[in-house]
Amino acid sequence: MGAKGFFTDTTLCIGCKACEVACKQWNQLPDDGFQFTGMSYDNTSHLGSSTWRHVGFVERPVPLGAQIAGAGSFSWLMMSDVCKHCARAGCLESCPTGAIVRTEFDSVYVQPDVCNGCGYCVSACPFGVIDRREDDGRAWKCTLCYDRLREDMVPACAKHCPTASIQYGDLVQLRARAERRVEELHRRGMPEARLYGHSAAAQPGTEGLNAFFLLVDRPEVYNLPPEPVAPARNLRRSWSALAAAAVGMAALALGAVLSP
Amino acid sequence: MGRRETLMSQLRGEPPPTDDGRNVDSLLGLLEGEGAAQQVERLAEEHPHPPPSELHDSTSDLETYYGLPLLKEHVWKAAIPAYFYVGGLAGASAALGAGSILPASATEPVAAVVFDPEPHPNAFATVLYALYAELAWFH
Repeated sequence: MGAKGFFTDTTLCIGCKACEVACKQWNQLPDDGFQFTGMSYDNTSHLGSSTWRHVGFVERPVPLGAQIAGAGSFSWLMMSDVCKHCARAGCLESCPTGAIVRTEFDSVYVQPDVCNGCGYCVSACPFGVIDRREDDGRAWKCTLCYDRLREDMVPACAKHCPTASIQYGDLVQLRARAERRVEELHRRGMPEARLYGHSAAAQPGTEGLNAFFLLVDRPEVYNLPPEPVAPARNLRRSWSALAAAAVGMAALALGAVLSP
Repeated sequence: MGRRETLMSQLRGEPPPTDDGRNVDSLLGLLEGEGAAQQVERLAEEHPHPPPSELHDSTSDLETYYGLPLLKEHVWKAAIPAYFYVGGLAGASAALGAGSILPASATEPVAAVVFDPEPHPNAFATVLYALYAELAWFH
């Protein structure tokens, strides 16, 4: 099978939200309700239990490097956000029931019939992707269209993306393509272009993302963490702190009792 | 859409119509998608948005995305960390209380310590232990 993933090139995104609609339709996700945020064209505002693709809109008074005068000092950044399917996934490591598994496509999948709704994964995700639906009681997130992949089909969002901003394929090929794309953008006068989470070396906290991004500004601007870390990476440090505390407590207690 | 669940549709074994925004007519399509099992009781409350007044102006604050939180809030109730805290405190107190009878056993007869039916006079530990037991019983 080999590792599959997404390469989301935000320089190509036009913010049409076809991915959001395609995801909802294919996966038969319930409605989010018609709400108006009033901040931008982004009325979904964040990923959640019933929102597995989310298009962010950043309006800023900063021109892009390659921008030709006319729009003034203004630029629009659009990014289709999704579950990153981390190589080392915080949600998967924290799941006590084994409901979250790694599939043959190297994606991270939540089995709804096993999930008991403990919510550990919600606080373990360094990207704030997975969420628990309160009236359903279980945690939900993007499945990388597992049902479509099994039939050799492209995930719904990538299939519907009209500008190929969302690209699906073998991770090795996607990484090579992304590096070529960054070089091309640099050559064309867009020095801000950078990859986000494309390799384990670039993002040691998650050991690389299977759904990585090409950004033209710092990740914080897109509501992405600059240095995400899967919580279990800190286990050794926290357990040794706990052991030190236990030894200290035992010494104090024995000292209090045994002292004359 | 707009179709109601009737006695006839129940007898025919038809799935109930969806009115949760999935827009799947159960006569034409099946709810078999990856997210189809997600149950819906209240629609609007499940994807809460901060009111526009709480959002930052994008032009004044370039560091964040409209001031929206990056991480999801934990889903635990306050009783759960309280339970861990009280349980830990009670356990530590019980260990201390058990330790406090150790030097006594060296001087007093063993029987008086082991078969003492009265609770230990360490009142603080006893109260905390009772609290812990009560809380554990409630859960």
